[in-house]
Amino acid sequence: MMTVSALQSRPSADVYLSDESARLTDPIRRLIRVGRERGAPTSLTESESTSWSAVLAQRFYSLAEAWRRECAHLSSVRETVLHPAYQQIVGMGPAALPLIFMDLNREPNHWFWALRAITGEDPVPHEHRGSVKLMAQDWLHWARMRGFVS
Amino acid sequence: MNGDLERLFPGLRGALYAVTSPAQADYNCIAWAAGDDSRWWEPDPLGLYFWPEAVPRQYTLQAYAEAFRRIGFELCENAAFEAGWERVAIFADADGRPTHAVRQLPDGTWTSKLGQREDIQHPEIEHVSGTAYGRPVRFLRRRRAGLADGKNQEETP
Repeated sequence: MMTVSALQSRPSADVYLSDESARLTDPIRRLIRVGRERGAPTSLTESESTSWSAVLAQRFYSLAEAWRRECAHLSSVRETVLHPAYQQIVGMGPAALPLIFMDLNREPNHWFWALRAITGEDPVPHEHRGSVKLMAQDWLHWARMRGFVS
Repeated sequence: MNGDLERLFPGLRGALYAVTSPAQADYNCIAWAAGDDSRWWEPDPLGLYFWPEAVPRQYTLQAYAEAFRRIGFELCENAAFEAGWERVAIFADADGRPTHAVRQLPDGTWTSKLGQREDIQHPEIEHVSGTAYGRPVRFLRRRRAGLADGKNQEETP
């Protein structure tokens, strides 16, 4: 499983998850280049890691908002997880986990299908199934045990 | 009146409906129709969500009707009001896939949980028919057990 730190420390080659990611990243990379040319006293590695995290977070929250807005009236989780925004979040893979857990901690929501798909695990006991708050607590406990959240 | 809701459910325009709960993701319309506001009912094959034991985990009208039968409902013909009976109706889309469920209150009006959004009370069952949920296609009923109002005295499934 790729951790966030591994993702952040990837080489600086321009590899993007999607065209949208590339578009979001371009202005940040331009700033880094200008800073480098002018001798800005910042760590390039740190700058790139921060910018990558910022891009991921921005993309996640944009997709999550679209998913909430367009699927809130649906009565079946099956329908909501098929929404392109949700599928793109699942496609972000392990890099999305800290963001999902942060969102789950803020407000329990139906991230359970994504979590199961990304991690291959399901820490929710049978008696908690369907109880969204308890399911969220079970996943947040799982996340704490693995260092995804403090 | 709620413009956002009325865009999703045009049948509500001009209707005397009322929003009766805040939006919340804790339970869905199937749970709410069954009188359960503590769990999300869903027959997902992975078994992530609650679904009555021994009822097939299938997104079919038969499975949804069977879930209601497990808590005392029986199939009936239509949505007509009958004193002393509690009715639920299951909605389906054009392909026959279940999309929604509503429950009739003792005064003959209906209560709907709109996905993760609000509960609403609406006078006519057809007020939530349309593009979003299709139309009501299965009807079930069970004897009321001394319910005075639908909101505060839910039966435990």
